Amino acid sequence: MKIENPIEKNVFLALKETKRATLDEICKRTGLDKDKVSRAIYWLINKGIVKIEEKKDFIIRRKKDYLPEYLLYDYLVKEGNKHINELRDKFKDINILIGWLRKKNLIEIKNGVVYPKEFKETEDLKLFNMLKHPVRYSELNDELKKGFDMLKSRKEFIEIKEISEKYYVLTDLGMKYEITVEEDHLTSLTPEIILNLKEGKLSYDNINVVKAEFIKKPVKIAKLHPLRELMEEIREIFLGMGFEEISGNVVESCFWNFDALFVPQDHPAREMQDTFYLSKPSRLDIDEKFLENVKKAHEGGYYSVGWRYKWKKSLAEKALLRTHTTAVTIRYLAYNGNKESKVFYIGRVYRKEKITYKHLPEFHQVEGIVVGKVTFRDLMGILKEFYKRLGFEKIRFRPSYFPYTEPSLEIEIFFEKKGKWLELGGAGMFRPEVVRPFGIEYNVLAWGLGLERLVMLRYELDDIRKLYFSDIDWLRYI
Amino acid sequence: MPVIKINLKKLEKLLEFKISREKIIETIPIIGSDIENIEENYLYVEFFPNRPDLYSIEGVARALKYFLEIDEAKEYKLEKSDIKVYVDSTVKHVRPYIVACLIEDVRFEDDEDIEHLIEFQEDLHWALGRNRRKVAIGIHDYDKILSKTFYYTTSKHEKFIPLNETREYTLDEILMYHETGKKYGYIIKEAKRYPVIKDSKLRIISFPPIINADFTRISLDTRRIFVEMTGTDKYLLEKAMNIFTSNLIERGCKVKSVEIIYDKNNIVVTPNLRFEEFPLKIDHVREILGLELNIDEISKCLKRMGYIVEELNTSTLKVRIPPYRVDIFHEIDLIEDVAIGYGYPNIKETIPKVHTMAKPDRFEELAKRLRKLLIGLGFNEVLTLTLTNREFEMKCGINKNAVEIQNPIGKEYKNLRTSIIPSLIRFLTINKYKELPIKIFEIGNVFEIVEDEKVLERKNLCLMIYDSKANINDVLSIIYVLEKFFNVSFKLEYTDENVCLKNRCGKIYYKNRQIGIFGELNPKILIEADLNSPVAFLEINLDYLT
Repeated sequence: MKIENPIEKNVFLALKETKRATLDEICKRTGLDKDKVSRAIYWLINKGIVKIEEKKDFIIRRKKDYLPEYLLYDYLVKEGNKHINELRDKFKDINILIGWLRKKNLIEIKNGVVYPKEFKETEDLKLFNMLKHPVRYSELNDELKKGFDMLKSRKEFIEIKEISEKYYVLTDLGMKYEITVEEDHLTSLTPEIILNLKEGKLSYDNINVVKAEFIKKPVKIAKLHPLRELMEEIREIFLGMGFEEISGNVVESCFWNFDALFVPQDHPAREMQDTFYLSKPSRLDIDEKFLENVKKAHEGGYYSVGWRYKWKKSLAEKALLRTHTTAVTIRYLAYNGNKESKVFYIGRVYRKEKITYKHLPEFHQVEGIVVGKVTFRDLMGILKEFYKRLGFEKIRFRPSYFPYTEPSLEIEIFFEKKGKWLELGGAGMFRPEVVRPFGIEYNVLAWGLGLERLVMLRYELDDIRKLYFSDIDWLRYI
Repeated sequence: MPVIKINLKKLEKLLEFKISREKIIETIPIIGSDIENIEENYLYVEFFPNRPDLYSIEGVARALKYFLEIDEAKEYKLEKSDIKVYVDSTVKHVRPYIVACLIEDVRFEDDEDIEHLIEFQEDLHWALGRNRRKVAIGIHDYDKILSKTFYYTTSKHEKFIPLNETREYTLDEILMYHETGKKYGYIIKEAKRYPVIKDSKLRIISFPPIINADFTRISLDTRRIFVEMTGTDKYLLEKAMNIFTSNLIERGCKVKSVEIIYDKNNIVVTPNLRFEEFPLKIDHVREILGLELNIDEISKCLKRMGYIVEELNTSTLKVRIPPYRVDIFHEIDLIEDVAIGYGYPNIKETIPKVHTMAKPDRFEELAKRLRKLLIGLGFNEVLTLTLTNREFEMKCGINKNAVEIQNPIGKEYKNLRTSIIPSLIRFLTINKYKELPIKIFEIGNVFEIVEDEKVLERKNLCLMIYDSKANINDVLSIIYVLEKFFNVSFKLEYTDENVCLKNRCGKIYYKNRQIGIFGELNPKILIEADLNSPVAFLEINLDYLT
């Protein structure tokens, strides 16, 4: 237990000197205001150094300016001996007065005659004279206390009010507690000390600082969101491999999200139960220059048998929230044409999923694209490099299926923490039916992965909602 | 995607060759699938929708035999039956096409075999039939029918006992009360007359695409099966029939064809079980895969994938595609099978030689620097959903024209947000018992419909300070910092929008355009959001500052 606070220190010292003191007394002694002292006392009580003692006391006040027996005594001294019967006419309650004076040994009575004796100031008179101002019983000395005992029954002349008062005293622990030399010293350096050192008023050897206690108190940490950390990491990886970052929009037509990617117009993924369609706006314009070629790819062309149906423009115009980032990359390819390029995009995608620990209706994907004289082996090579930079040394591929890539593959990484192979992303080469309509003759490598899954693996999260309906403390301290 | 339950003992029997389980488990994913679960005697495997021929154990056994070079593909032998199906012209308006066949030498070992066949049928409905819309399959115990003629026609008022029922139903009753009727009835509900298949005694054996009759039900005793498939897509019907029959051939059944008579001049024999030819240029294979394979190696890879391959000339292969394959659109599909046949694990990687310069997106770079700045000022980055509802935005005093979803997951997520302010208020409500101050920001998209139904997608920064002492001065300091950051100066004007506490809010103008709002949140909103301390906020559009 330590008293470090300077106010507490002052209060402690005041109590140590007085042994017992009221709040007012401590304030007076320390020169501090009531608020500060109360707070310091509160802490000292908590530390077991100070305790409260409740004490009863009396405040004594006088009601009259005199005690009547002395009027009688003064009269006797002035007029000489008198017979009691003579006095009875002059003084009310003569018997009581004579009783008091006899008690105080100020008179003598012989055969009914009252003789005054030599004056002597009794304790009760002493006290009574003091009572020009009210006095506390606890402040009286023994002599005056005797006076109080004599006076206390005389309610006509004095008023006694009982009060109870709080005192603060040191506990046994407090009595033993010493503000050591060390503690009287500095907790750390101050500008004054540095100045004094500089000016030679103080030498280093004379500085005694308190030995620090090693307590690691948490502070609130401002940070990037864990998903952002991953996104930035992935951006760095792509930029480090010479890729260009592209941008795109969320509200998209079926055309770019599906048709341009050779997804048939009756594909299950296009149904209302999987994709968010919009009622406002319900349709979007499609650049006329691409319509005919995409229609041709679907109906059969570019050396493909196509989907054997009549492609409908009206279905392609429907507005939706993009379901994958490939909507952005295919748009880029369409407008960029047959040029060598390497691009990537990171963004949100939307799927019609209820909010559960496993799924959210929106999440992030990243996608990389290489356009050029490239091969399936190149795809495997760049994937290996990309995942290595993401921290996955062990990686393997197996065949997969996407409507818009052929050949396609699934990426599996060996996740050390769990000791097993996990699926982490898909890849492939864009089908001729996808790229030829946009005049692209080069081969196109493409791959993508969902970011939430990777973040969840990294932080061992089992509830995806934590990323979007976050606990601020989780964000602060993760 | 369907998960196929594979009985390993039955698979081993079909393979006719001792192959270790390890080898089977190792090979199945390399052919193109994802093993979901392994039990002592069962594998649960997810195959992709482009290969419905692998949706039964027989198809998997066939693929394994070819891949492991135990066997090679050959043409299917097909005998003729004397069964004829007469198609009434009235079906044209409902489900115009039908294919059929007779399967003999059927032998079910146990109930599991029957279950497996029915699951296979359902998976085909899913993958090819678009849930029975395009293709619906019916299988019948032929020995319970013994009819040489069938009629594919339409009807409205007839009755029959549907599968697993004990009383007669009218067709309308089935649509109204029967479980599968309620499920698939929508496909034909609009029609005036419903499609039915009848035998020579004019008994209804099937009411496609809904249900079969009970009396033709398959059992362990079934030796001959009559298969009929009806639908709207002739090509897919033929494919579904090819897959179904070729897979049954793998378990030793014999398939006999049936004549479908649309009219005198239009007679079709089904199934066809023909291998279609497709030329493949060797150069194209090399160019796509980057593998220096010679013609023999390529043809070996293709054979492992079940193709019959002939050399057309030194640079071209004549590839004959099995009748059960539905995924060969283009040469590229064969090239993928060359790669799978070669084995993905055997392909050595190379690095693409496309030399380009890195170029970050301008906005993303700016956002990155801005985030650093805000973190330095003690703000935590948060991410929230962009799906919200307009009512909540209006309660927050924001009233802009929002993008609206036609089929939302719920009322709460019907719109795209037009402002990040409500998102962050929600975040604070979640965290209201946490240690204060809470200082958060998000840089994200907002969406607004402007004139001509155009959607404007914008990037906003929104930040909030939630603290017992939070006030407008806190955000005024941030505005000072932002001016320094962007090296601009903003004009501030008082505003009395609903989102704000009056006299304590302002708008931010840049080049005479309003780009932001800041101040203290209206206490009505705080009460609505169940927040007990004041919130100082700032939302600013970044598009004009980039």
